[in-house]
Amino acid sequence: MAATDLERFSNAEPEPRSLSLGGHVGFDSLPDQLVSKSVTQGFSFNILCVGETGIGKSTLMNTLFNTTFETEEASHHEACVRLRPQTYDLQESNVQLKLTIVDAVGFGDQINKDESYRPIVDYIDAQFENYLQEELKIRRSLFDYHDTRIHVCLYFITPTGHSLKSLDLVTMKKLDSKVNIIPIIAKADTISKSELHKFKIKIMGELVSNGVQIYQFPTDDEAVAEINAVMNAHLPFAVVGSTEEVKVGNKLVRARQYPWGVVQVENENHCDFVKLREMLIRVNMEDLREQTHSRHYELYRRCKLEEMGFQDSDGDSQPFSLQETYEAKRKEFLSELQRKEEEMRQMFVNKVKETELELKEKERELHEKFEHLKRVHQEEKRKVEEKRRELEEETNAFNRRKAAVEALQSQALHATSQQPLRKDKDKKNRSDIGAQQPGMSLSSSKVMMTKASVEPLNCSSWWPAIQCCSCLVRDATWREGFL
Amino acid sequence: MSTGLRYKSKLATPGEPSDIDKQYVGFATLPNQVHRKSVKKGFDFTLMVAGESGLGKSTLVHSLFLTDLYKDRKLLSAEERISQTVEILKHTVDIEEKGVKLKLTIVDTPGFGDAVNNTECWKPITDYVDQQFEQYFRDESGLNRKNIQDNRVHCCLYFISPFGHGLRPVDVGFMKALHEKVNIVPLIAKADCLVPSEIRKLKERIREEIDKFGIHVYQFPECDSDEDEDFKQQDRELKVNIPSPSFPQESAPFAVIGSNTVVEAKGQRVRGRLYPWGIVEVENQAHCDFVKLRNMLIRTHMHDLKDVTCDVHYENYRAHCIQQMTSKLTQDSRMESPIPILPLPTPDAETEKLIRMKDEELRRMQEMLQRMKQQMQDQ
Repeated sequence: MAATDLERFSNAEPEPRSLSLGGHVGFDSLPDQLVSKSVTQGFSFNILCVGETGIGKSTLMNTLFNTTFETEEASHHEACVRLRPQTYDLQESNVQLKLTIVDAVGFGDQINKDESYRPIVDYIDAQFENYLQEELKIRRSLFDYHDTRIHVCLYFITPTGHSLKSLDLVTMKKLDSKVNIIPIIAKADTISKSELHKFKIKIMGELVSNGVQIYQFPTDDEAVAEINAVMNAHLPFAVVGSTEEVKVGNKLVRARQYPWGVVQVENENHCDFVKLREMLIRVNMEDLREQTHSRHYELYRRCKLEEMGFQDSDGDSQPFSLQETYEAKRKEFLSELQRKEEEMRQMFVNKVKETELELKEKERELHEKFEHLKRVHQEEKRKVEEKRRELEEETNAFNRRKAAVEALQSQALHATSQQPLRKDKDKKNRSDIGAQQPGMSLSSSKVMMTKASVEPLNCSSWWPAIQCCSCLVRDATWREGFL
Repeated sequence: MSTGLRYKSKLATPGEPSDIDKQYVGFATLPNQVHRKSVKKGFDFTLMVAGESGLGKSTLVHSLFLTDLYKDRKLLSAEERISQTVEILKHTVDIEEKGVKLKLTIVDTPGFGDAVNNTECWKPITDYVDQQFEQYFRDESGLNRKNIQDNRVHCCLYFISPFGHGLRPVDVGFMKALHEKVNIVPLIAKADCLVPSEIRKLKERIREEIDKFGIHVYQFPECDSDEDEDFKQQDRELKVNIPSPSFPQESAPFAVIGSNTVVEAKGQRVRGRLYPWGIVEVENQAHCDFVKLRNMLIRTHMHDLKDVTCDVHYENYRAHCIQQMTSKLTQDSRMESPIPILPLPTPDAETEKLIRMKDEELRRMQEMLQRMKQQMQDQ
């Protein structure tokens, strides 16, 4: 079945016949139309400059574009590499160019340069990502979009004269699949001709043996094939940059003045600046842009979409459309979401149950405890009651005994002193009735006499009584005298 | 070499011949005797060169001593250098000039600053310097001191890259690690990539940064009043009063160019580099400071470099070493010391700690008193 399908497919589109024209039609102006359109649109070009601090990146940019881009000198003590993009609008004849120069500030300064390449790679990827997002939008405006993808990376090599530095090798390997790299030997006025030749060979050898793919000028277009091939042999270009003008002969040229001579920037004998300018700007700028779009960007896009799970063709080799794939992905994603939600809900319910059980357990325990305590409390109360009763009984017993003892006492007292008690009662009566009489004292004295068992004195009053008192009389004289 | 001429014996003012005989004692010939003995003994000098590779260290050493020290040197490729460690290579040559013998040792440090991760890449170098000090210390304290080999590093030429705007972090790290152990002479390498105004700017920048980071580089000593006029003139050229605390010389750091080749310039054969736009002469003072460096290093200050190493750096090391050993000994008396230690009256760690604590307390008290006084005054 598949074979006949293919046949039908090929039969539907036969090989186009080439015809010759009878006269001038005019579609040879198509390139001109394209050109005028692109001129009105304006061009944009993005250069990334990577190299050690102070190696001459800004000076070279100034020299290349014959203007002064305002940049401040970078310090050597940056903590990490950061990228500084700056956009300028240039115009030459009637062609507008939106030039973006991205500087890798702080590259090569840190003591530990293991992660130096990462900010650069991240920046390049970010630009690709932005373009990809714009491309995938529903309402997109690609013709208006300011393309920030890096079209060329100028890698500045330090002119040690020996070989590449280890950092250079590591960084270029990371960048060669993402951007067009053109290596440049900077500050080339420090290397003599013979040393330069050896240096170039060494560098290219190292790049090739480590599999680093630098940008090769295209040799498929006949118009520029020859010059490009020649230039390819001169890579890497040894350049000198300068914005100062020195009088040489009777002209002012851009040059560097040394005590031993003058290095002219635009003298092909002195350095490869002219070659670089030719290649980079005058001949291959458009090719660089195209390569970035068709090779590097497409590679990025493919990797990114594959990551997301898209595929170009099914097992039956039927081309998938992006839309279907998108729908499928979306459904998958939603079902995944639902599943996850279910899971979470399950988990939640389980957890709730668990917690409930736990709470019940605790409640029961508390209840038990409460009961237990209550019982204990009752016990205690009962005991206390008992004790109280005992105490009461004892108190009662004690009271009774006390009463009994008192009664006994009072009885005893009664028996021994009954009369005095009665006389007292009479006396009490008499005194109550009549006035007080001296006889009272007599009676009382009588009591006393009775108790003391002495003879009562027969005296009318007490004074003679005292006088007569035997115990007071010592001799008769006193008695006689008195009587 | 003008060393012989410096020590001119000054005779007493000549009066009558008999006066001369009576007044002249003769110890004015001492310098000549010293000169004779030293020539017989011979000199030795150890020079260390350090810096990233590709800055022209070997070429400069070749130009300085006019001998090819490195035969069949193998340079590593970039791939191999990604995780390279620093090695220490010693090359010793015996050279002679006008009867004066010099045993020159060049200590090379290939691999410094070459790897991608250069954390503490100066550690092997500091270890080497300390090792030499330790070796000398043991020899000096030994019983048989007849033939002590002095392998201590007398001078370190540090090459700063001219492609930057000043000192880089790895330069600062290296110099700070070594400035108390060795005389550092910073140089700007490959100076033929800088025009004169740029050289001036870079030198100023480097001087500022050296001050800022507190690095102690080698200072040229003051000359005595009875030195030669030439010497004084040269010294004056080396130092010009510029207000900068640790760097009085205007020419330093020297911007040097080295060359292995001899080229023809103006009918003369000179040591230099041939460019399409001109010829750089290494020994032309207008082109670079190579001559100044050579004079300073070899012709005038070589012995002073040795003296500073012996008197300052080595003594610092020795005192530090002994203190460490005695504090260890008091803690652990079982440790054997390789050298005979006299009981030093250094206080042991315990009392020191107490003293420090008490000082702290005192200080706090004083502060509180101050504060109270302040408060009282305010009121």
